[in-house]
Amino acid sequence: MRNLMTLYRYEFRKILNRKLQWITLAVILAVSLLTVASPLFGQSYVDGTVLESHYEAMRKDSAYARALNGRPINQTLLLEMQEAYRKIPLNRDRYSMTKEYQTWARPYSAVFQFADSILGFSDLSEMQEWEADEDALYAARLENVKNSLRHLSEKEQSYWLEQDARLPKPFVFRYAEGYWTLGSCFYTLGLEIFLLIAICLSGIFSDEHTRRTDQLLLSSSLGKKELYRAKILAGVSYALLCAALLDLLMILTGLSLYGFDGFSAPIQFASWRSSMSLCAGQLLLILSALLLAASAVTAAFVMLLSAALNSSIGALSVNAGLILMTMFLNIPEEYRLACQLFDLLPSNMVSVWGVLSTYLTPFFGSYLTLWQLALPVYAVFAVLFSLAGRRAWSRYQVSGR
Amino acid sequence: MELVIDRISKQYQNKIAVDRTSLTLHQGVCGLLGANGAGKTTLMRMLCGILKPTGGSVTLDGVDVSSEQYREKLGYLPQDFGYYPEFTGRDFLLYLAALKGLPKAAARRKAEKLLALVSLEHDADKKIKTYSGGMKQRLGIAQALLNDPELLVLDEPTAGLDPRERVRFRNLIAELGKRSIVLLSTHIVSDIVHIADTVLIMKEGQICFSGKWEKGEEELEAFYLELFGEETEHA
Repeated sequence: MRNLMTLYRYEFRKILNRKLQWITLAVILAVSLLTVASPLFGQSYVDGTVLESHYEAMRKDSAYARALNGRPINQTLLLEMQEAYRKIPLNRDRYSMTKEYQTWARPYSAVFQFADSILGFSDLSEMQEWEADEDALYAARLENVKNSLRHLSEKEQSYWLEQDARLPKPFVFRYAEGYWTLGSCFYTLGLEIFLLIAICLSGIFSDEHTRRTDQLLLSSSLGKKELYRAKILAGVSYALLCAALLDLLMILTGLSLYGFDGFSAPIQFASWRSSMSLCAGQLLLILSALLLAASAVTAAFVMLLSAALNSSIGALSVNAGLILMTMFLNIPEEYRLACQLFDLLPSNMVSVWGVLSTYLTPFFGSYLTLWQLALPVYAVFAVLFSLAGRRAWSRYQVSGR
Repeated sequence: MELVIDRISKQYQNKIAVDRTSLTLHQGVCGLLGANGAGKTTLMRMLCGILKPTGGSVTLDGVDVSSEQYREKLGYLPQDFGYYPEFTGRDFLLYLAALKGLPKAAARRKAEKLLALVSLEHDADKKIKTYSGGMKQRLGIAQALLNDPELLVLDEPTAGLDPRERVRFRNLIAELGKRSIVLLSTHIVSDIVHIADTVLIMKEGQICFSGKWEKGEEELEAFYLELFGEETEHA
């Protein structure tokens, strides 16, 4: 490992010396922060009149939701919510404009949304006619959970139903808007970071050929093995650093805007069909870990393409194509293996639905969920890609020109 | 110190660039002449381990060209080499010194010495993108000498240098030849006559002349023209 760290510093510097890298990083930083803050921009209009700004609405709703903190969604709370919602007059087009909604019902809107998402009230009158029933609500939820597991094997279904039975019920409400908003932004952040990695690392090997520095590098004693290690190390650490930086800034911005509280809120308030025993804080930590692991494997893949194709455009195109494909392609659930593999792709995995995926992999008598499987799979593939890239780099022949 | 080239060949689809060439080189300057496309650069690349021969072998004191130990003893100045525009001249040398396995302190000392040798000590902290063609060429010569190579392969080293610099580097190469094997490719016949202990002339992938040149520059030029005929018109 002679001069590895010295070479690493030079390789890292070469990456940072690219102007395009700084421009892309700045754009992605701005976009990711705007994505988190954008729900607060603008105003709500009713019949051309400004009702309130989105920021004011968030402040008001978060205060109401915080007042419900720690309360279980049980018969008592459901009855309170129903009583409040029954005060809204039915003869109004937009009930959110009514004084009754603003005064009585809005403080319970978080509970209403939870019940509505499970029961699917077609309109306010249906809700008002509904007889609040805690058992019926949780039974309806369980029925829905069972339906959502139909594409899985019987054993997998039993596993999830067992997990679901272990969840403490009734669910205890906690305000966690910051965590839920951030969770929904991770998918976009992941795509942006994978694109940044593709742009900034696609030339890490191929640029040496186009710049014609390869002759000097490959004829030097450490140019084939040690330099390769230094480049891989620099590329992966660059990807990890960017991912960590953008992740941290996005989380800090999101929690500053929406509130730091809600770490222990059950995941079922964001995805009521999920049977996973996770809280909001754990969701963000898992997403962050997945983002870092996915960034590392993406960096290794981009660098493999750079070494193998000898073209930064080629490496960039393949990566951009893969990212676009994951955005538009949809594999039907009956093709189980293809579906599971597709969901394991970094751009699909770094998302709330990726973490909450119900696909299971048998593991020594138990099961690994998709996100638990993703972390070691990404590590193994990062190593495999790096080994394949080394072969391509060390065997490169300088000819022509 | 012995470089043994044994029936080395390089064949591309339907063209033989180097055809079963065998040579044994010892300490001293070996001048390689040949028209464009004669196979000089291909031969040099194979001697530097960056182009795999189709057949044959290259060893330096018994060490194979593909090994790290071989490259440790090698200094190479390609004909048309690249650089990092954002690096300073000093950074470039320190980077290549690290690639050649020099420890940090030794690399610093050697870089300073070589910067002075190629008269770049006052421009060492300027970015390479601000250098003229001649300055870049001098920097290229400096990097080739970083590891005190036993085998120095120089492909057109004096191209882009002004006449004063060219003569200076010619003398430097002659000096290096006293302790290393120097293989020098050039179109400038006078350089060969002045410093080469052995002259090699390549034509169509084969060495058509190998030996000591006892006569003068004009005679070598005439011999060269006679060998290549009209081909040299394009060289």
